[in-house]
Order: sequence, then structure tokens, then C-alpha cells
Amino acid sequence: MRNKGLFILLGMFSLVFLQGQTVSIGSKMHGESRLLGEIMAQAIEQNSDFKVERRFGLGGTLICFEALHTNEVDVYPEYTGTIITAILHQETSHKAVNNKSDSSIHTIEQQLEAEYDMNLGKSFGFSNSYALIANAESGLQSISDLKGRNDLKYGFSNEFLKRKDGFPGLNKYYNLQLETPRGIDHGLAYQALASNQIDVTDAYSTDGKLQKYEFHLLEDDRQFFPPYDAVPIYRKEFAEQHPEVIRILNQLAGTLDEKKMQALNYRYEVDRIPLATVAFDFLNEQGLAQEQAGLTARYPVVRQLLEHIQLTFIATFLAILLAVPLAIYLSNKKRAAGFALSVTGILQTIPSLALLGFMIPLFGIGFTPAVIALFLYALLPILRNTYTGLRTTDPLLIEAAQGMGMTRWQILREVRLPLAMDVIMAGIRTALIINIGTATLAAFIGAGGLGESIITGITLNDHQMILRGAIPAAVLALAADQGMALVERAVKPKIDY
Amino acid sequence: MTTCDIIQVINISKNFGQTIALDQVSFTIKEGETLCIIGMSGSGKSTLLKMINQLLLPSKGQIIFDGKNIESFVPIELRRQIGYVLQQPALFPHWTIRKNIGLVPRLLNWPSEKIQKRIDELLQLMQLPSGHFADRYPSQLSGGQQQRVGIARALAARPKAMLYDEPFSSLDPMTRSDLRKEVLYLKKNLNITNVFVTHHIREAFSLGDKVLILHKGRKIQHGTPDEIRSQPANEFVTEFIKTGYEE
Repeated sequence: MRNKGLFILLGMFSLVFLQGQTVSIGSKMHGESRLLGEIMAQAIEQNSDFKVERRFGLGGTLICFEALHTNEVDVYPEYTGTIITAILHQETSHKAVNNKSDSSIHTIEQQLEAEYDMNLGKSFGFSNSYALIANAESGLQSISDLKGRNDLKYGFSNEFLKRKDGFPGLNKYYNLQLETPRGIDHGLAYQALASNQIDVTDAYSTDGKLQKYEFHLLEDDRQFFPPYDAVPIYRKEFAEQHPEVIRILNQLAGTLDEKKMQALNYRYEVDRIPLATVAFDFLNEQGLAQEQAGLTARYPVVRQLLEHIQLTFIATFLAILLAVPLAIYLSNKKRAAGFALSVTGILQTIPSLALLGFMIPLFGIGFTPAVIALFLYALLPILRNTYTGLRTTDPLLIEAAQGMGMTRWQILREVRLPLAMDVIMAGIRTALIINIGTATLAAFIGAGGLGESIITGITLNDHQMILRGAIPAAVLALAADQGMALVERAVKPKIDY
Repeated sequence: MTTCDIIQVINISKNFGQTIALDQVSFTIKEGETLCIIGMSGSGKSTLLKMINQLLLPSKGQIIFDGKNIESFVPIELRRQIGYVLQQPALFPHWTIRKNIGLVPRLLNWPSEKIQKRIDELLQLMQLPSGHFADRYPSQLSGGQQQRVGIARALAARPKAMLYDEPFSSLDPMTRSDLRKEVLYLKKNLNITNVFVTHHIREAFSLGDKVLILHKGRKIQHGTPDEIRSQPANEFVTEFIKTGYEE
């Protein structure tokens, strides 16, 4: 007995010990954020005993920040301008920020610490501010030239369109009098611009792909865009407990300027050199890494596929556990059933990304919120089909069953459920197929799956990578469909030949 | 009450909302007797039948089954003692013939060997060779064969009484007359109490020891076929018999 107790105690200690040894680094979706994340990750791995867990490709500022807030992630790279507007919800005071960059960072740090108990590390050394770019042939020189030019086709990213320091602020500040244009995925904007489908788009000043195209950078002649200094952000508590990690991060301060960052971005996004290699080469140059560790698997498709299966099957299974008994309970309660069906129907209409977004404040990021979101989506088809299946049992058969002296439970289990089985199975099948498709979005909140390849591929404009996620997802959907057809045949009561 | 009255219907009324389906109907059925309840559609005959196995509850009055008020039975236990044959075979389409017939014995937890023996017995009785039919599904049988199975299912647990709710109404005339002979055969050989609802006067007179004529929820006449033929209670009965035979 005593030995057993000691063993458990040791186990618990080692668990705490191991947890303390792992640092979780996050990043946003775009390549630069991934690069900074990977650089921080390798710097820590190469210069300490900490293990690093990478949670790259999280779908946006608020998701990253919430992940930091809920301890899902310990550090991620952020931009000062983004912190001011998207996190601290302040107007960017252009002049103050532009002229006195240092003091403004100081103010941000104070506010972050007061409001969120967060700290900023030292700047990596470059500012990736928003910039507007146009085709060289357009003849546009500066942002002021856009005044009243509603004849041009604007393809701005959705984030740029929404942010105060993006299009709305710019339009007002420059008095451009432009109508709000439609959003476009940032990964596709350059191609659209190069092929003259659009005339102007937003870009980041360190964007490596700017080297590939001959776009014209519009001069911010009235200095609207505040600087976006890249900095590591982490919880104050984490910094206090991991001074060694902070010391390593500080060694990265000032190592990157705009040109260097552009070059790294170019290597990663245009030359398609693996993330780990680009990060290692850079760190090696800086004397912060000697020996390249084993590359992260180049084809992570098996892991992603397994994650994808896990996500969708667990979510669908949980939905069956709730929806089938609920439908049984509701099968003779018409009004309550109508209510339940409309609630699940409303859930179904929530756009997947929005639903995933709602999950973060409640359940953090990663596997759990993704499963919950997929679970909610799976409810409607299963509930509706089970309910319909049970409601449409031939009343004569129910009368016969009653007349023979079967109990309600026996009638349900032996007559109504088996006869509704094909309709129920069709509902489960629909739910599963919908989930396999929707689960590709789970990568936005760090839940992994095949969406990782698809989303990374879209952000990097890498078609091969998109297909490496999309093809297995399509194959999985087809296989699941066929598999369910077999299950359906097996459980469906035999009625005809 | 005499000891051999198995079913006593006392002053039964039933209304569905404003509609009166049955109005103070009383009669008794002796053990082993076959009573045919006859009337036009809407006369309340099926409603009356379904009150005997408590698929419907009377608004007023009471029914005594085997010496006890049926309200003192647990409904499922009452129903397991009374065979029930519906308008259509209403066999469970996902079960084999064997499983359909064995239902009530299974509900009563008979040992499985006894159930299988009983099923084979019934298949033979209903002239459905078990080797050929037992493991088929209802949809593989003709309408007449299905209703034979329906009757076998109702008979399976040796019920004290059988209720037939217009059991041949969905069958063609040939099959109908075959099955009528079958029921007559069962009546003679099994000595079970039968309550048989029909709207065919011929059927009622050929099957029934007694015939009960219902019209608009009221009992018009109750007697043997001979009594009714020779002394029709009123003009309606005379007319009903006449038109029934002309059909």
C-alpha cells in the first residue's frame, strides 16, 4: 500500500515536472507569424532543456490572444499596432505613435499588464505595417491618389476592412470617400492583382511575395498607418516562472529588420523552403542554433488524417448520444419537438467560423471546442431524422403492437426504432459527412486535422499543400459515406428480398 | 351473472368530443360463443371491440372480462390474454413469420422450445407449411397468407377470447371465403370465444352463434341468426338484411 501511494505521488510530481518543461508557442495563420513562432520555438529548444509545443496557424488575433489568456499558449508573436486596436480597443493616435515609438510601446505595456496581466518581449526589430499596393501600370503613387476613385476595383482582406486602423480609418483620415468594397482572402489577393482582377489591395510591408511581383507600394503620404512592431507576447505569470525562456527571447531582439524579414518570408512562402529550415538557417546565422534537429514531418498527412477522424467521429458519436434519446423523448411531444428542432436548426445556420469563434471564450482553443462545435452541427440532422423516423411508423403497426400487449418501451425498441433505422442512419450519415467537411475549419482554433494543410496552403498560396489536405478530406468523406452505407445495410431490418 | 359469461358489456357509452359513438350498449357473451357485431360504417362496432382490450376506454359503463372489471387489469396483461386480429394483417415487416407468430408467447416469457413448437402447430393449423413460410418475411406472402399469419399471431398464446376487427375487409372475395371457412374451422375445433366485427350480413350469419346489430351507436337487436331473420326488431333490420344479401 505504502509503495503504491509513493508511486502515485511520484507520478504526480513527474507530471507537474513534465508540464513545467513544455512551452507552448502559438502563431497566427500567415507565414511571417509562423516564421517568428518557429524561430522562437527553435531558439528555446536549441538553448534550453524546454520542450516546445507548436500551435501554429491559429485563426486570427482574438483567437491567439484568447489562447494566451486561457493558458493554451504561452507565447506568440504579435504586432504593437494590432495590440492597440484589436486588443486594447483604442484608436491609433497616428502622430503620437509615429513620432515616439518607444514611449508608445511603454504605454501599451503598462495597459496590457494592468488589464490582462500580459507582458511584451523586446521587438524583433522590424515593423510590419499595413501598406496599400497597386499594379505598376495603374499610375497610382500615393494613398491620396485614391481619393474619390470608386472606379477602381479594391480587393481588401476581411480583417483590413473591419479594423479601425484598416480601411474605415484610412477612408476617413484621408477623406477618400470610397464605398466599402467586398473582402477577399489575403492569400489570393496578389494573384488577383497580378492578373488585373483587382487594382488595389492591402499588404504587409515585410511581405516576401512583394519581391515576386512588381507591385507599386503606395506612399502613406499622410502617415496613417502606425508602426506594427513585431514582439513576443506572454502572460506576466509565465515570464516570472520561466525567466530562462524570456532571456532567450530577448536574445532575438533586434535581429530582424524589414529587409531580412522580407527575405525570410520570401524563402518560406515563395521558394517553399520548409519552415523549420528557414528558421534554423536564420538562427544559425545569428549564432543561436548549431545543429538542425530532425525536421518536423514534411508530410504530416497521417497525423492530420487521424486527428480529423478523431474530431469528426467523436463529435458525431456524442451527437448521437444526445440527439437520439432526445428525439425519442420528443417523439410524442409535438410542440417541444418543434422547439428543439428550431433551436438545432438555428445552430446549423451559424457560420462555422463564427461558431468556432464563440467557442474560444468558453472552452479555449484546440480539440475540445472544435469537438463541441462539430457536435452542435451534427445535432440537427440526427435529431430531425430520428424524430421523423419515429413519427412516421405506420399507426396500424403501433395499434397491432399495443393490441398484442407490448409495453411502450417494447414498442419503441422492437418496432418503432428498427423501422425508423434507415432514416436515423441517413441522418447520422449526413451529420458525419457535414462534419468531415466542417472539421477542416477546426485548424483555425488549433484543433489540427486536415484543415491545417488546407489553411496553411491558402495563406501561403501553395496549391500542392491545399490539395494535400483537401484530397484526403474528400477521400475520407467518400469512405465515410460508403462505410456508413455498409453499417446502414447491416443494421437496417430486412424487409424485402 | 352466470358463470359462463366471459364478457359482459354493461351500459357502455363512448363519445369523441361532441360525437356520440356508442350510446348505452349492454350485452353478454358466453364462453365459447361467437358473437358477430354488425353495422354500417360509423355504427360504433370497431369502437366497441377496441374497448374490450382497452385500446379505447369507455366514457361511461363498464366491461367485465372473465369475472373481473377490465379496469382492474393492467392493460398489457389483459391484452396478452385476448387475441386481436386487425383490419389489415399489420404484421411487423422486419420480423420473420416465425417471430411475428411467436410475439405474445415471447412477451409472456414462454420457454423458447415451447414457443417454437407452438409456432409450428399454428402454421400447420393455418395451412401454412412451416418449412416454406416460417423464415420468410411478411412482404413475401400474399394478402390472404398474411392474414392467416395475423390470426395465428393472435391465437399463439392460447387466449381466452379472440377479437376480429373486420379482418377480411382488405381481401378479395375468393380469399375472403377461404378465410371465413378457416375461422369456422377454428371455431368448431378450438372452442374459443370470438367477437367478430363485420359489415357483411352473410359473414355475420354464417359465423355467429349470436349477432349484435348496431346502428348509430345504439344496440338495435341481439340474438341468434335465426331469431333475427324470423323476427327482425324493426324496419331497419329487415332492410339491412335485405340489402346485405343483395350485395
